[in-house]
Amino acid sequence: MRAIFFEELSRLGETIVELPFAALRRLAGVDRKEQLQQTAWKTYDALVRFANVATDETYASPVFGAAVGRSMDTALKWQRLNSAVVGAFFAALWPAVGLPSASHLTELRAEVGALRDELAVARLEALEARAALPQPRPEEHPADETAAAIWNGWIPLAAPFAPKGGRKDGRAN
Amino acid sequence: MVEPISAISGYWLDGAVRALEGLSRGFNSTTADPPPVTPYRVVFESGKLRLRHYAAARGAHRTPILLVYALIKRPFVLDMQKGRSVIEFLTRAGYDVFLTDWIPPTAADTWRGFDAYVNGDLKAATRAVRALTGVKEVTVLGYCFGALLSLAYAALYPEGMRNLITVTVPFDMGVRELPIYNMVERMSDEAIELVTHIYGNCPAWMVQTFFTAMAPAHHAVNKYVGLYRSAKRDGYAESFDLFERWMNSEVPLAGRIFKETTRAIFKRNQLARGEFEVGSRIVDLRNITCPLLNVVAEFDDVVHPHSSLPLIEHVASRDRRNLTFPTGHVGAMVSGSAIKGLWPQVSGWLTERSN
Repeated sequence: MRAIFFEELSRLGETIVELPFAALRRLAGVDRKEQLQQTAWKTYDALVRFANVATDETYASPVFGAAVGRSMDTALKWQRLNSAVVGAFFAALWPAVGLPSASHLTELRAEVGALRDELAVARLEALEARAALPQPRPEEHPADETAAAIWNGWIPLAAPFAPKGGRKDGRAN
Repeated sequence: MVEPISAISGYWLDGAVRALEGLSRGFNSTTADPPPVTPYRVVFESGKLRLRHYAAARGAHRTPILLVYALIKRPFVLDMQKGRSVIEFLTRAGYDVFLTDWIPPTAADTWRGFDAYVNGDLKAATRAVRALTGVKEVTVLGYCFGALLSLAYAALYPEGMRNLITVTVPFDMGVRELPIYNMVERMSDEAIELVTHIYGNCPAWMVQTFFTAMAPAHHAVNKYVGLYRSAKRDGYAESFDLFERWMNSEVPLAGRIFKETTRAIFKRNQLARGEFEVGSRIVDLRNITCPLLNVVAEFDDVVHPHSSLPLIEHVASRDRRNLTFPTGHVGAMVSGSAIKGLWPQVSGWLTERSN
């Protein structure tokens, strides 16, 4: 046990002793309600601090650690047996009712995942290729429609008059 | 008006129902994330990675940040509440942030280990970030388990790294100052093998149990008492609710990476010893030469500070430092005090090294 455990224990003891006296003082009308509340919260805080230290001490204990380790091993082994039994039962049942088994679904998911990865690689390469293209010089920028309208009064055609099968942004003039 | 003390039992009941519902649905399998504070677009998908882009709010720094989140729990904790969001802070500071939103593994993903996540997904993510932003080097910022992945990536691919920031990284697992690690130590290799044999992946409820077991008194009673005592504080109840949602957003850990993490990293401390292998290559941390900022939470009860602090001694970077901040493990990413006190320091460090 570390010293902090005993420090917190003695602090908790002090506040627990203090609490009934505070209650008596309140009953006798010496203290106000707030003072009693303050003492009660002090006791609560000391209790929480002690609980935290006690938990830490328990975790740090080699005996407790070994016990938890052993019980975890045992629980997992039982769980494994349980999964094996359930798996064997359903492995025979699913094909009988015409449904895919869990392993088939996992395989399918893995295939979809692989396709997604291929797509991601292609998308990344496209991004990089676009980034590697030389940036157009200012005069090579396509004419901005607003700028064109200011410059030569061009107004894009309204959609119903756009040439069929042709460019919808065809110029009117 | 002060609530009666019996309200605690109501809070406790709500929490118990939340936990049981989580358990019955396998935790994250059916729940949606809460709405984000910062808008984002999914810009790339590969393997088990969905890459989100949060655009810089003002004149961007040239170097984007790739934020590598942990493989356990959902990443919405990084962008949960206005004024307490790391992502909101970084984008406001002028950084383009790309976040790894890990897709939970299925029964077909038990083979996924560090090799798949680092050599596959993270490598693809950095390639995508470079292609999308047109820069050659990226700042990688890893949190907790994400910092482990970032470290492995930075050691294997040092050429594309501008800066590396690790936040609460579980690096030296020889440090046994957190008593819960005694339990991991006692978990036999046979038990680890059995977990993957029975379940394929390490189930979400098992990861959840590990975190709950770290502070049972807190999870069983004290957090509800805390809610009662702080109910009058502005926004506390809302924060509590969102945080609880995140605590119950556990996701499974792919079988192989679970084995590698528990055996090689936690039990044998191979990363700190320079013996850890990813895809048949040794993760040699001396390959890391870029500037390194190692953020350590002083009151971390998940990763002990002594486990994170030695990292800077193992890399070859000339520009390296530890930044210790008085907060907890999650507080480093979520708390208002970290957003006001820690992240401006991180941003300051980064600004000098990002343009």
